Amino acid sequence: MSALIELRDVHKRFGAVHALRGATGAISGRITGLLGPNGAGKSTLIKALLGLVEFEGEGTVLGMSPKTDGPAVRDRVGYMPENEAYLPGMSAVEMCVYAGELSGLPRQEAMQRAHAALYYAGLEEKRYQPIDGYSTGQKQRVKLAAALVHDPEVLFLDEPTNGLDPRSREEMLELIVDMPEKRGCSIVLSTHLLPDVDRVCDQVVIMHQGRIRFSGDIAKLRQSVGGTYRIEVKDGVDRLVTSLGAAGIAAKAVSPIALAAPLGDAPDASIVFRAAKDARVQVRGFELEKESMEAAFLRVIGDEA
Amino acid sequence: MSTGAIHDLGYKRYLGTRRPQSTRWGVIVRNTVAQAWKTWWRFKMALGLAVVAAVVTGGFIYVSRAVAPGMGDRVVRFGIHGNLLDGIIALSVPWLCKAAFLVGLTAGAGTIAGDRQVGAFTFYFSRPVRPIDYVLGKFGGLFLLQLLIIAAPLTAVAAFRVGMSDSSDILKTLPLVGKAAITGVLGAALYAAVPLGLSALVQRRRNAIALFAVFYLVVSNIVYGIGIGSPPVMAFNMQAAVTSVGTHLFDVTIDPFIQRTAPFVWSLVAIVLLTAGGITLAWIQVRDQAGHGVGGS
Repeated sequence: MSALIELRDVHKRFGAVHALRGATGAISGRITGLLGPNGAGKSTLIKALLGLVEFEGEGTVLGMSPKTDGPAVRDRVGYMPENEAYLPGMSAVEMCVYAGELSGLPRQEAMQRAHAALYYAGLEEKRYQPIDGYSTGQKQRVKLAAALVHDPEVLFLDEPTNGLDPRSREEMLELIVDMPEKRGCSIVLSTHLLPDVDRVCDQVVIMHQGRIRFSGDIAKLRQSVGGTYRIEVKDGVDRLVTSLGAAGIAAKAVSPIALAAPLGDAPDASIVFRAAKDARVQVRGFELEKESMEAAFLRVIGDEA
Repeated sequence: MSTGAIHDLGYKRYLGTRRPQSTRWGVIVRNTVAQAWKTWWRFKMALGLAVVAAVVTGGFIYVSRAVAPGMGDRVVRFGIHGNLLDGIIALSVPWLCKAAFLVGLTAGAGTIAGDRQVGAFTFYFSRPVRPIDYVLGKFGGLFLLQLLIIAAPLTAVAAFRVGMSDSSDILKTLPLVGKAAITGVLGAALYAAVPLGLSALVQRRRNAIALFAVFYLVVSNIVYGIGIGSPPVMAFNMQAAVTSVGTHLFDVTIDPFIQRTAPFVWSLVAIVLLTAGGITLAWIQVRDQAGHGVGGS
């Protein structure tokens, strides 16, 4: 599959500030997390990809150049902003119809799709009320519906769970996971919340100091922690630690039902199960321990952070 | 944790044609008119004032034709020289300008500043809308509103005047409709563009409204005052410029000791310059601000 977004040596300067310094990479995942500390260049990259700022270098979105075809790119791309971006005095339906028409849909089609998008985003009952009176979560849903209404092939979501309570956040994440399958669009999720990326993304792009420092699968990003395996048991953690110790493995309990065992990169699992049998312990889980998203993120940006 | 149900009404990808990029500004025109029409104080109040002015003017024409014939014939009365039966149409222009000023305040001056204040630039410019589409759309919407305030009443009254003519006079009076329409269109363009341009200069709706009020009520009157000594300058007073075009086209002269009027040619020049200036100012400001807010701050 060709990449949805390709960047080759993209530079952008704002006066003395060098916001993008040769960003190079590709985005082709169903849901791609765009990560980076403040000032990493994420906002500038989104602006560049939407054709809103000029830049040096090569960049394409869906095979089109944002430099020369900005409006055409924005016809096929949706953007859900982080900040409030609604039109006062309008209801959610009016705003979504307006958004659809601005993106080139005929009025009738825009109306049908506005209702469908608001229904999809869970605003079916409130859609005729003025947006001014909506809660934060409802406003986020309106922004999502407005970004979806014109049927984009790529959707940029900028901090979509910002300011949401846990329930609304969970619902928003469920929508994000659902969209590529149900609506056939790929998602680029720009966020500071690493757990959100871990939960919904299959690929990640990490930016730092105007450069793309990592681009690829999350599984590839999170490295194994020294060949350590996490073993979960029903009970008898201490007995299994002792039994593994007798087999020459320096395991240690990490919780009442789990232990960490350094077995190396090509372990012989039978040692563990033999030790469990000897210790009369039932093994319920056995998996390679990987570093957390936080640790992986800090490792990628760490040397220049 | 699974909480909210995801609803889907049977999604299908849109495969039809999209509206051409060059026509997207038309969507903004329609929205600008629709939003102004929504509340009585934004537009309907001023429209009411314009209708009253038109009804009074039409009433004068009716009385001077049907009740007291000759009342509006060529007069030199109250310092006004001309055929008052026709000229009354031009003399209604200052009243219509007052209504247009109200629309400029309520619907025009706050439009761009209000959009910036609430982050609506992000809404527009993350979509396939170019700054020129946005400015033309906003101008077009305000222009249509002002046409209803100035051009429609003037043209309607002129048409009424033609209708009140004897059958032999109809062809002679027919040009009045065109003159009224020209005066109205020029006035509408001016009263749409100037508040729009000023609106682009500030970031808060309330400040933009105040700026237009100060420009119209204070700066314009200073300009008018300077114009007493130097008439071409007077044309840069919005109301004086539109009134001057009207009185010239309707062949009405007002004695200088009653009211000073701006020279006709200078009034045309001022209307064109102020209209073009307002649109250009709006475009420059919007172009510079278009990408702000997209992708965070």
